[in-house]
Amino acid sequence: MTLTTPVQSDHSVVFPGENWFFYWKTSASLWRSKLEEAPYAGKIYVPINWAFHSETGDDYDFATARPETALSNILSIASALGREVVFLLPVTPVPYLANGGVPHLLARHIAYGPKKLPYAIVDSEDRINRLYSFFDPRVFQAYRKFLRALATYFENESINADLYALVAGTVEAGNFHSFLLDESKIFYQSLARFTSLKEEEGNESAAPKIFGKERETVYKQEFVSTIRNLYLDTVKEFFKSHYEGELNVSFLGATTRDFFDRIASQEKKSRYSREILHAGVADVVASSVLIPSKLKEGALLRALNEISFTALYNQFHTKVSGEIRGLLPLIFFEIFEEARNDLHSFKEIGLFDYLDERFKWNYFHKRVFDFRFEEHDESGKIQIFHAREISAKNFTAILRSFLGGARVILNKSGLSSDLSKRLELFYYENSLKVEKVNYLTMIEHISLGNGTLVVFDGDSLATHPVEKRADFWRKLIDTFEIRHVVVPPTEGIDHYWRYRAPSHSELRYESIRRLSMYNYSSYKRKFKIPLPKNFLTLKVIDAVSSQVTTRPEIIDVEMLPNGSFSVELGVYGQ
Amino acid sequence: MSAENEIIVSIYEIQNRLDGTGELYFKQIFDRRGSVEYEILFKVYQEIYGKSLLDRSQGIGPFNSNEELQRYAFKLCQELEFQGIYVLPIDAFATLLEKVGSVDELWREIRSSEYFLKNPERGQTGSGSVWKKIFT
Repeated sequence: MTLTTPVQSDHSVVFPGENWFFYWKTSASLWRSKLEEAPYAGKIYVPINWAFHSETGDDYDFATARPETALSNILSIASALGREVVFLLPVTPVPYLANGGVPHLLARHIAYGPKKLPYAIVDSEDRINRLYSFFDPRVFQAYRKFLRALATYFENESINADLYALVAGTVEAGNFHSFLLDESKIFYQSLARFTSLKEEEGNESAAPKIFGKERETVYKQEFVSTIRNLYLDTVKEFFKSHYEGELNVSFLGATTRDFFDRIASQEKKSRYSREILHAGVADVVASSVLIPSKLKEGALLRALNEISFTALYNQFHTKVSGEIRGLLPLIFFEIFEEARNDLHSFKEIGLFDYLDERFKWNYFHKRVFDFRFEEHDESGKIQIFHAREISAKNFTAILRSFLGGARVILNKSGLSSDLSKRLELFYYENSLKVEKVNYLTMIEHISLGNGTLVVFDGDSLATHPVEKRADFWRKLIDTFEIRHVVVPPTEGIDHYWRYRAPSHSELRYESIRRLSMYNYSSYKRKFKIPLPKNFLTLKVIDAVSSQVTTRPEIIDVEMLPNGSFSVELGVYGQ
Repeated sequence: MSAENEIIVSIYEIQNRLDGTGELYFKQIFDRRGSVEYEILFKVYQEIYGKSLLDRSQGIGPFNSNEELQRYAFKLCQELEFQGIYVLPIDAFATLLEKVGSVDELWREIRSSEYFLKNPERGQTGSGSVWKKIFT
């Protein structure tokens, strides 16, 4: 038994996860030996530490005083070792650095997260990192100067490596939240200035005016988007030839809930596993750099390698090849909703209970703000909206999206009378045949080409018992005829679905799905997975402490603690 | 559980209403085992007010005064049979955070803060205790 806090090995401090190289954590004289021992093959990711190169925000050190600031040396050593370096330049506060990476003298305004609590994160060494607001104008001015100096250094040293803008955040309740998002006083002060400028512009413009809460929301989103682009555009401006794009990274262990669990030394592998899955579903790269290395073993390590590392690989592979990526998260539903906890939310009317039972990890919760109209939607995903949160502009876009072939479910509770009239007019103008069914609530069903639009009133649904609501959703979703294997819930077992295009030898299948399962419990688990028709087991992959027996209509599984496996299934057409 | 661990920490926010008055919400409640489960927090609210929380996204509340807020805090403390509860405004919590560099330092700072309310059922209560003011 040890009486002291376990100290992480030096190597895991320098390479804390997914081949990220924390160059500032070790002496430059050791870089070669460290890089030789990079834990994974492939690219080495080097996040640039602003505060390490500029303590005050006004002076810069790129190999002038400390050899550890010589980024070009990392590149030459890696190159000599046959490794490729990718630089990650944060455009948001980052959770693995003190002050979120902002130089000490500029760290004046602590940032506040979505729950309006100060952003603080426990790192892998039990240190508390506070994040400071990127909405402080002085931070932006200093950031811009730093980028200018860094770009000059890149040019002088002829650094020729790819550079990505790192957007750090977490996936909470299914949404990716960038750490840029802020509820601090400095944010609201800056927002107030922005709003008054917009008001002045608005007074001079003929554009339709918006009022009240919608106006507040629209300005806030526009302001956040403006500042986000300001940082991003600065990176693009100074690193034209290096810039490859944005990289959204969800840091495991960095949510508000994690903070309060981690200060109580409650490190829960199953929780991190969920965060990996949430990131996977959101198609965001997950990073384990905040998780102590002692936890990264067994099923969690395999989930990190199989899901997070694949997602990271996919991000770069897509860029390089421009082709269809390998394994992608299997998503059937995108649910757009802002207010999630009141009595009329989708949660309260039973949608998530139903989805969790049959389509766990096959749906993605998004903010309405994230809805993007696509002229021809061929994704096949079902988009679910709550009308009360939809602006007039988005409402039009959703209807157009249906005309373009999208599959849409609209809860019309809270629909304004204007939009209600517009919906009726839309039916009329497009000569749409509306089928009406009364089951717990009035349901309108409209088909046009590949597009489907289902409209119902969620308020009526809310008055029915839980079982009835589940039945409503089952009947409604069944009409979309989604072919899927339902994995029975087993305590302590997580599963994750991905899909890929069939290879040449698999052309008889419509698509190939991969189911990965992980046992985080301390017990042996036995269960069966029934296979509906149209599914055939192709192969079992990477079974560790797991016995998987496949039969035509069923998969028998026995998993020991920390066990994991994947199975690939071929999906036949009709 | 050792006495050292028998404390709860709560963080609350004051939100301004349009009429200029304020209402208070607990944004986070935790102990040495992590976040206190929502089910317990909701149950205590229901017991005091006889109704469920209307909007959980705001946190636990609203409370119309410090007394109401403290009443909830005491009730929670009583329910969990803890020694006492720290009731910190968000700004005070942010100030504590700005002073610390590690998890141990944060707990030390919380323990030495002035926001502690002792559960009288776990010790002696003075005649002028906040507890009595609220419940008598």
